[in-house]
Amino acid sequence: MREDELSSKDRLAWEKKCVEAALRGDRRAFAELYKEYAPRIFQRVLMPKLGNRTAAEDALSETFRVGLERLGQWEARGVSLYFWFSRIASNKATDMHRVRQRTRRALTSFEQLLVPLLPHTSDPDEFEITEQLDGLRAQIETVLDRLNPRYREAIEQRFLRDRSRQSCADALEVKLGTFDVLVLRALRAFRREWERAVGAPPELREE
Amino acid sequence: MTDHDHDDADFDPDRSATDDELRAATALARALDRGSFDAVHGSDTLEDGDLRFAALLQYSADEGAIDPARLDAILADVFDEARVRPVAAPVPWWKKILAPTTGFALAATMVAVLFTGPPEGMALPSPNAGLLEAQMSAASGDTAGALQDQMRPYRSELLSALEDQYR
Repeated sequence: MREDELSSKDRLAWEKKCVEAALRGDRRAFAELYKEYAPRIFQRVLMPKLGNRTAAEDALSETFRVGLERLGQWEARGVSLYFWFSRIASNKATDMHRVRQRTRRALTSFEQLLVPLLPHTSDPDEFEITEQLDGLRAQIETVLDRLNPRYREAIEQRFLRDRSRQSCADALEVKLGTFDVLVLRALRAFRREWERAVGAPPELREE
Repeated sequence: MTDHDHDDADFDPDRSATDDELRAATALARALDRGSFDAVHGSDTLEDGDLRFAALLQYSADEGAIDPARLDAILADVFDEARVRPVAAPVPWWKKILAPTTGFALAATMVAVLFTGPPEGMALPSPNAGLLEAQMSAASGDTAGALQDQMRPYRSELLSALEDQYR
């Protein structure tokens, strides 16, 4: 779904109808809105901002709870409800970062790493809605092609196939501790190549 | 061959790890297992980008797709935890007009009654002795015919007095 599709008249009329029904207590109407927008908000807003599936699920739940409680405050004004939910989600992610910083269990955002892959947008908070992320896998493949095959294998096993550490270590025929070091080196090699190809995000640039 | 090919080619990926690398590798493994960056244990050995790139690579495997069953479970939580009161249906236009009109009419009636009521201290005609005797006889159980006879002129006198006051 592209940004212009989000703003189509049919979609806005459908949203208005669902919101009015939800405000009268019709849960199915709210569920329709949720099923339409929650996966996208999870994928495009919360995962990049939080970098962690469990945290992103918590934030998604909070986002729609707040959305449901404050639905009466939403005014259409020709803009999709998606953007309203997206803003709530963004604020929730920021709140979670603050809380986790205080408890010294910080979350990791990789949002800024995606920015160079996307077309220019005037509002940096809205990058997630402007374009599909089709280019991400292609860019990763390009970078992986430039790595030592051993590093590439470690990354593919651990991250792209989401296998356990022990399973990865077995596949690469090394001890668990050795695999941990291999993954660390592979990640740092990947980062160097990525920054050569795409550029470093501002906060990671060395002075 | 790029500059970077030299970087990797110059080092054996399985070479012995330094102490810092071992600590960083342990911290990274712990962070990946927990899904969070533990700021207490070994975090000083991790570079700022290590976890970001790890998270980016994990994300790229499915681009952050969420399992439909999890999506349904989260929606159930949302309904359980949200504090919402259904909003009443919008009030039709005619009700919006009727309510203030009715209120105004009631208020106007009250004002009219209060300001046009009988003057304070208004004197009514006193009953004569014949009427009082007839009332006593009727109260004792005697025939009420005498009372009716006495009441007729008194009622006429009372109504005339009231008519004069309100005119």
